[in-house]
Amino acid sequence: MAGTVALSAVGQTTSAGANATPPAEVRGEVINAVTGSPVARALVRFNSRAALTDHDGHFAFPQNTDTTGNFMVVKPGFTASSDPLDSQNIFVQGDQLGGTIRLLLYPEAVLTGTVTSRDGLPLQGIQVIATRSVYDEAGSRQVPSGFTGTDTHGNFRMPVPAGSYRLSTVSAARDRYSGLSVLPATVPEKTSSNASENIRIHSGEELHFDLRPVTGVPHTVTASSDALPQRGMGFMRITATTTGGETMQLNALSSGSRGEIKMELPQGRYTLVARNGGPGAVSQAEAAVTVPDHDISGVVFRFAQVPAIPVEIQVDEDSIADAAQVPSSASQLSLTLQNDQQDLLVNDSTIRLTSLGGQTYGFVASPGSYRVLARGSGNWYVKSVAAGTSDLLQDGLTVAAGSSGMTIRVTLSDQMGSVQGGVKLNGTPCACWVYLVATRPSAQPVISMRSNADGGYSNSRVPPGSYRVVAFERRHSFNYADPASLSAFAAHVGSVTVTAAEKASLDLDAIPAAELIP
Amino acid sequence: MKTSSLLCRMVAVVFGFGVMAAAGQGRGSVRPQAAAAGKYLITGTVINSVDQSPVPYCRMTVAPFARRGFAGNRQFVRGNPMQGNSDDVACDEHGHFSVPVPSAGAWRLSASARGFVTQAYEEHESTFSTAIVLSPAKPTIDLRFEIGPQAVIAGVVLDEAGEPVRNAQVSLHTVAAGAESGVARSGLRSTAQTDDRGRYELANIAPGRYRVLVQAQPWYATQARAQSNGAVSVDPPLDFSYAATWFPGTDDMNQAEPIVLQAGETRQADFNLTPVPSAHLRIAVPIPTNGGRPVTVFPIVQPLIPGITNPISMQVARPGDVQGQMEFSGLAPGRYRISMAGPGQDRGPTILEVKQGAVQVLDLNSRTNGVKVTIQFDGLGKGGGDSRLPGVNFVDTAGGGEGWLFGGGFGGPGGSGFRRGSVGREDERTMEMSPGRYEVVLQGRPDLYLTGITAKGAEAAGRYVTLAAGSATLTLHVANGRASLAGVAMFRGKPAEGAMVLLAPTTIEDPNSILIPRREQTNTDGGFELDDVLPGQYILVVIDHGWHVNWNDASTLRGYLTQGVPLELMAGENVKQNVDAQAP
Repeated sequence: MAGTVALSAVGQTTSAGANATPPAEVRGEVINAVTGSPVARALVRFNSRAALTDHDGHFAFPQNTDTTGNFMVVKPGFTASSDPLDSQNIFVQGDQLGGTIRLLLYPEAVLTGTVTSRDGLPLQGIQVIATRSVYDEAGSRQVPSGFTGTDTHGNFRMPVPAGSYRLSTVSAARDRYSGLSVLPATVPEKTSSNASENIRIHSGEELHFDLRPVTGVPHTVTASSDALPQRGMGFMRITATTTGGETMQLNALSSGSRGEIKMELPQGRYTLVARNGGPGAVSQAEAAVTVPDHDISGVVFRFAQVPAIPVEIQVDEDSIADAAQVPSSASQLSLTLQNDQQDLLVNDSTIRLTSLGGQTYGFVASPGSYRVLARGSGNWYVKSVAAGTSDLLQDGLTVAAGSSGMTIRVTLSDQMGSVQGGVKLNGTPCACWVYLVATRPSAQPVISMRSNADGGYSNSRVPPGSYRVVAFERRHSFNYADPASLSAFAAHVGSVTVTAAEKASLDLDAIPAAELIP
Repeated sequence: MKTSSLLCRMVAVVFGFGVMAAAGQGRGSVRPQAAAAGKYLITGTVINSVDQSPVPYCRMTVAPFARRGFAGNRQFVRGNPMQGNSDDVACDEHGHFSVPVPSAGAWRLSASARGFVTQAYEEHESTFSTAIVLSPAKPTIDLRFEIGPQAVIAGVVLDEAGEPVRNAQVSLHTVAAGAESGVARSGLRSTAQTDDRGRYELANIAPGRYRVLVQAQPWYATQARAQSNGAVSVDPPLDFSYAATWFPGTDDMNQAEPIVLQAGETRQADFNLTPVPSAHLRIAVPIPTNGGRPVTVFPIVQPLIPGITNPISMQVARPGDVQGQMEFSGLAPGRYRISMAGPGQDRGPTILEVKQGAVQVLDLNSRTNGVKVTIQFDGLGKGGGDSRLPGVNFVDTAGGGEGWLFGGGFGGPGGSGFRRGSVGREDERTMEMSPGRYEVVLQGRPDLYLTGITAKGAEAAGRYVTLAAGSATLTLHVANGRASLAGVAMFRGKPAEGAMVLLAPTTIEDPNSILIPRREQTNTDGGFELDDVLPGQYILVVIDHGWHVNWNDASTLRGYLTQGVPLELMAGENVKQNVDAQAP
């Protein structure tokens, strides 16, 4: 009897195993995961063969001799998984290959919009960028995921995978048609209260946004600097932030021998930040400027060294391992600072460790607020990260302008526990994705692993603490820091408390892919 | 900014033609000259050429007028007009502008506005425009500056199933109004990509005649090949490709339907692509060694699209498999140029017709159909001084512009085929080429010009040679010293402003003529200048408001030539000739 094989089932290790008789024909169908209707002219790849589905979404590979199958399905306008980080391959073996293979395609989402000036004129040739919120073991961050330009009507469209996005227009120092400066604009608009708010767009959905950047006649702003580097202006970067919170990078020209810096801005109030230097030795200056309706000068950049924050390692007193096995430098711990407020078009949102000489490592971080992320190394996990009396995992790290003398202390421990259990999908053991989400602030907010074909999973290096645990049929990234992101699956979510040197057990009922229409 | 005059003077100094003073005087009247600041002013109003309304808030850019010059037989604009810098001047809300210039001389003024094509004053064919001439006697001028709203071509590209084709390359090509060179060419103006709905938009188009070309691959074929890890064994039902397709749906440029655009027009040009079974090509490549170790080489397989000088897409090789065999699939049947990149690859490109069906094999180890061409020069060095060999570009008349470049030390239109042929004699070069008919164009020595070609083992006619398999020796007869021509055109007693100047060789009806027609546009004072003219016999014609005249039509042209001024321009000569403009 031919059953229906779920799209991602890594077939159970049945008695048939590798000795199974190859089915004479491998066949199946491709289904739109949102509408449930068949998808015609989808390209299905089965091992080294490929075919297009017919008008009913069916495909067939006659004269088959294979006993296992790697399937991929592709069609413009669709993605093969609800999660962009997921593998595109689906592996089927045993008797399941003789059944009807059912492959899902998820329609893309489309972000569209119109860019007009404040007086309603369409802006042509403006670049628009979509950044997507991505969640993985390194935490959440924004990554660029779409890029396009506006047409003669100021319109743009960007097909993207379903997800959470921000849309930004790129500033133009001088629009080639009007000669005006075009300041950046973002949706959702940047306000102090909702800096992390995003556009949520679902599979198959098309959303339209109006972006109305400020335009204005550019005026020359001439600045001088109290401490220009001897080697000229090579590495200086200047950004301007508007009163609306939009940040843009400026084309700054140094002129003359007195180290004057010229830049162009339209009328308005700005915070200018100039950064100079490379890794390890960065100086920064900030200046507030109000640009009237004419050129101005007299802006002064007073540079101050951005203090390097050294990172020290210490071992928790409970640890039993030989001190010689302790990671010798912080560079082995994948330690990063994450700035969620950072504008991706201007600066990288992740700050990595830089060498401060010898075995000393530290962060060179501009003033701002950061989250601290750290993976362990070998048998060690990061138990705590502190600066003075402040718990940085709990409170995050705030770097104030001109502050110095701070040291980050990372405490390592080798006292970890185990978690194990079995995963079933609709009552059948399955190879699924298991997520352990720390309920308290942690250097590792999530630990993910795969169960094997028998449904078994285990991890013997779990830092002590309590976790919410959930399994998904396919990879499913979600905002681990937000308890609400699992509330829809409350019946599937378990919890476990891990204690050092002990084994915790938890069986899970995986959430089927069909329930996860992004 | 003054590249052209500088270049002329350098040439004159090197060759001592004794024309430098004359040149200086002759051009002095229209070259920018330092003078009291604030005295020279260009004012005017920018007008929408369609509805005659003023264009508010446009942007005016001024630069010294750069004359067109000639390198080889090709026309190019010397110097870069200043673009988008802070010296530009904005119009007011009524389209009025007032642009101060620092000196007397000839100025190029252009206007930009949102929704309009950036244009120079009285611009024609995106090439010619009227220079604005200011002098101490006439330090100011007031202009009515018409600019046209941008035209747009938009459309949708669908595949054989009526589904949108994403990321198709759509390109806009001008239909040359008059061929100043013998080879019919189609100039690439802009490109666009289709979106997820298969839609595209080509914007900012100036009025004119255009063709639209689409290049794409069937998505399923590309995917099937990508997933097969480069193996050529794509299932036959998926192994298709699309030929480069001209609007409204032909792979032959001559069958393409030209789209005639007026200012501000929007036209629809949709495509339905039809797949054809892919052609397959296997290239056997000699693998050179360096100290016994094989060196990596890469064939570059480039489609030759008739009418396209620079094909947009280029199929770059995969590294070879066993025995230097490299396979290419997904090719639309047609002509391809195969060249080798990598160390030690000094062989010229091969042009091959790739057909449907069985895998076609190109064995680069033993070329049998090539022609070994030896180039000699006659007349080099007679002007003394510069003894560098000029580059020689062989422009394939059938391929629409691709060519082989011999020497010259830089990449030109045929730059990817650049080969420094093996040097036997000092003034001789050899290279392997494919048989065909070529236009011979000198490059890299703007002072030299071709006076004729003598061929052994090939046919030569005027500036064209026809090469057959075997070997051929070409002697290029060259001479030094181009001429220049300047003058003033009057029409019914007044300076003919913005008129079309045509310097037609008396041999214009001979398709192989060494001499080629030249055109220019008169200045605001009726003056005109033609630099770097090939010496010879011409008829000078100026037609007032003559930009729509179809001068390529022989019978139309004869009517004007009978009223023109016959001229003989000698090498290095700087001729002054005033002329009465004819009515169009």
